[in-house]
Amino acid sequence: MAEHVVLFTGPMGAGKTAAIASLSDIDPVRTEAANTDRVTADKATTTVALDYGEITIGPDEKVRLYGIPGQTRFEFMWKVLMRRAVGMILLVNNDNPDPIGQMLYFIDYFHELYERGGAVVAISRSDVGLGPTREEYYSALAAARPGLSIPIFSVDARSPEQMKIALFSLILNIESRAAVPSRYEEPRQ
Amino acid sequence: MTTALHHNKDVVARGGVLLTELDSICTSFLYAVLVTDDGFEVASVSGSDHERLASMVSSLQALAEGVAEELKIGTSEYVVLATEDGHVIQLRIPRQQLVLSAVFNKSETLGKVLSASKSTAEQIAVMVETSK
Repeated sequence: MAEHVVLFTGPMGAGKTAAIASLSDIDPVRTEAANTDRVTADKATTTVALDYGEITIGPDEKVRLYGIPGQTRFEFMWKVLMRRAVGMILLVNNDNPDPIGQMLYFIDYFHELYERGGAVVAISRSDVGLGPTREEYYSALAAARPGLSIPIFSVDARSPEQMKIALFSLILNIESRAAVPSRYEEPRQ
Repeated sequence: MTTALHHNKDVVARGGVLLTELDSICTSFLYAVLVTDDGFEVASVSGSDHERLASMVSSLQALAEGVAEELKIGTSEYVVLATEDGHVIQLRIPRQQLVLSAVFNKSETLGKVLSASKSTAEQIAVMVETSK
């Protein structure tokens, strides 16, 4: 069975735990602790090590879903979790104080995953507050990191259907890249 | 809303005193940190870069408790990391959302430092319950 490891990244409160729970075929593994930092994100618990889930997307294809803890204090876990991943779903909550800055920060930090397989951006909580539009995310990405080809979706992280669209888009990208020789590869004689 | 324990001056001060007492009864003691479940430092003795260590302690505790729960073998009592040069002992403060992590060299037995760490954890639990 072919297996992919996809990493869910993004800031605290973006919906990474919810996204993995909505996609996973198994009861997700969670490492949540009581959140004492209610200023950064007003929620009862926060992930402190990882989230883990699995989804089977075909007769012989399984995707392992890992989520990072969103706070930069847990950056050591980001490096650990990045090692085996081949792609990234970057969740950004649209009601974040600086959602575009957060998007660019995580794209830069996990750039290796974009290079290795691909990345998609999933904007969550668009129904709360007045954050940027999807077009503004695209414009900011094109201006700040020209040349990157990253689809951007608006999602409800709790919706399996919406998260599947983002995930399948990423998997297609990973597989198409794997099937086509790198543009940096010398053509065979 | 109750004050988070790492912002409670009484808990921070008295936690530091109890960690210092652990240092005084274990000659192999190197350093220790008391952290909230979500990885904020409450108190520490010796060592450096406690902020990073506090986050790691939080992650390790969550993973250990997650494994114990997954295997249905009861709650995690303590975690021991044995290395060439020493031991890291980590345990939940009874009845609290706090974790104690202490580092020792190998000049004393694991049993001795584990026993001392458990005793300190219990004292910290009582201290928190009687704090202002």
